[in-house]
Amino acid sequence: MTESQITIINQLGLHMRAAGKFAKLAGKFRSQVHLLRDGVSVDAKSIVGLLTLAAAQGSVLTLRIEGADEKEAHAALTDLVATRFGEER
Amino acid sequence: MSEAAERALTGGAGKPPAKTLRGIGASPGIAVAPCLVLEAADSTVFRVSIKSADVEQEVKRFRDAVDAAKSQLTQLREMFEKEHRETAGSIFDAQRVLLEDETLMGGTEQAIRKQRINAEWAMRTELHHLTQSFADVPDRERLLENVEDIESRIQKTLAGSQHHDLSELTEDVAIVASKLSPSETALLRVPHVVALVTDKGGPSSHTAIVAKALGIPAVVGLHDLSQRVSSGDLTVVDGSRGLVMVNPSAADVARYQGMGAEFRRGEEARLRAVRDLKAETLDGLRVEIHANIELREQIPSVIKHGAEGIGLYRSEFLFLHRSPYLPTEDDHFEVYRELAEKMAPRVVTIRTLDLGGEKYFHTVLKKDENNPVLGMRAIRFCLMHREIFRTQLRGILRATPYGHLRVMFPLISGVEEFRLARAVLRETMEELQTEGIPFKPEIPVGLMIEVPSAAAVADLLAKEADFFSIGTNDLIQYTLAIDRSNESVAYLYRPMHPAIIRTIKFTAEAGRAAGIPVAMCGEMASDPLIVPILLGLGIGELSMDAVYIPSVKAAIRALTAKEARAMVKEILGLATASEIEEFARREILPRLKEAVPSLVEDRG
Repeated sequence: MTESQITIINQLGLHMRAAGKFAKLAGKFRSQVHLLRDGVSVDAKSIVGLLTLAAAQGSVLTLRIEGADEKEAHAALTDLVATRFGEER
Repeated sequence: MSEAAERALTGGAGKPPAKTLRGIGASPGIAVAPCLVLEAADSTVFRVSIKSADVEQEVKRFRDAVDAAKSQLTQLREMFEKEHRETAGSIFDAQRVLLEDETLMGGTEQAIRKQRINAEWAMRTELHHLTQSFADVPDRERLLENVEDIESRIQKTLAGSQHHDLSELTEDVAIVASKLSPSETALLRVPHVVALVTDKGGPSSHTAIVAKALGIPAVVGLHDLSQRVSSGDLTVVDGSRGLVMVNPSAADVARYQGMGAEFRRGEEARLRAVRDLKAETLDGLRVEIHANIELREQIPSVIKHGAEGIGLYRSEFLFLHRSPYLPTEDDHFEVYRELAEKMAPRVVTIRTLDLGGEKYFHTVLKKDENNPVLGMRAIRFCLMHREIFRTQLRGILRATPYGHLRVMFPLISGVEEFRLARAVLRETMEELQTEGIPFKPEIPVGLMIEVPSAAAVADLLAKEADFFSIGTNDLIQYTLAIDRSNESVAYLYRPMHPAIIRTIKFTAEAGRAAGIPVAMCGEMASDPLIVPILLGLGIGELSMDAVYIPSVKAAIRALTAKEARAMVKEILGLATASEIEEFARREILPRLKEAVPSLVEDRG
């Protein structure tokens, strides 16, 4: 299992398009991917789950991945968040 | 946030508090039922129960619609990406991800299976719950727009497949809407609609007219109620006092149910007392009283109210309820046979398809007409689409042996059009004859007088037709050049305009000279204050929504034909609608005060 803290840095936060990209990317890995905030854990492959986290810019979330390809998944997902989901701001 | 949303958010923890709202009572009576909030009456989004055997079929219908939406979204994304508009592309991508989300689609499928409800309603409630959980999502507005977009995409696909309509409701509902247009209220004339509640409208609005016609309570003028309740909330609708109660206590439910039952008993007694009385003036002039209907389910009510026949069967409802499919010859035949048999020996007048104009959308109609009221509608549409017309005429003719049927063409503009329609009927008869199918060739063939040009040549038409029926709603609209749905000119819609009175007079005289019956089936025929004028003008059959029959009958029985003719003589000398209305209030109202007490309430 890998676990790390990620900070949402893009201006709009984890809004629909960002959550869509995150869920889609997470869905490409076989590992189980969860995002946690304030003790609430959601399935990160579900856009609906991600949206219910209501994570605005500056939110700190826990990314927990477990499975055969967890390293690759971790690298790809943290990169997506760090590059602001491909958004300019 | 709305109170309904607040309630949903608290997750239904405990029963929401009861609310009592005061509006304007528009039609008396009391109903207790869950409400159904309607965005548009032709919307397909409402609850329909599905038979267990059909549940999997319904799930499949939903899946197919979702698949169709997915491939539409993929195409949209590709299109935008080709144009290097990545942001727009990623929106459709996100929508697609939403569509693939198990929480959303699985929830809907589960709701269809567990509650045995239609896909449209299952998805609507599922999305409603879902958006409640998105309360603090960043950029929430945008998300909700997209969820709405997804929903409408799927709902549209569902509507295109075998869609459901309000006539399939299996449990009683109180309809709640912001406002109801005439064509919407027309679609509400189905069993299980037990009350109407609208935010807008006054005591004489269309909602009031239709609710009275249906004999169900209505409350109007409730400001923003439709925004504040959710479908499924239990409501008490007290049309007599103008009250609406949302989420009433058990004690209130029991109390209002008791009051409702008492009200209905009183109404039944009142109806029984007048049902078998003849519509005859004090000096012995007999008038035939017929009913206007659109559904065969209305027959018991028609008989209970003492109608002596059906003066207008609006066959377009047969088409609406089959939309997007067309009724088959057997669909037509079965409905007409049932009408003929159940009403026999009374007459049943079938008006051929009157689609188009401002009303009654069906997918066979073009939507892009600039001025549909003056466009390809009614008999024009039938003559253009002969196969649809012949299918209906065959159905009518095949039903003739089962009772007393008449056929009537709508929107005839002159002799030529009437001859064309009759020729199609004749050809259809020849077809049936060749095929050896029995029918009565002597079926009376009449037409609606509702286009001013037909009225102007009523004497010529009377030589060729077996009867006339004056449709005042369209006649007034066309004669006075008033769009009935345009509120800014609604004040000009005056049934007692001298031009209308003269048109009716000329038509009645033309019919009398040719020895054919002249009926009236528009709203004017149901107004007790106007009925004496119609008698004086020589109209021999009045056809109306069944609930108006008792008061119209009472008005006829309170007068002599002689005085009605004297009134008309004076009215023909008056120059304006206001003068005639004033005359009616001054001379007719006092004569009817005792016979029709409700008139004084309404117009006093």
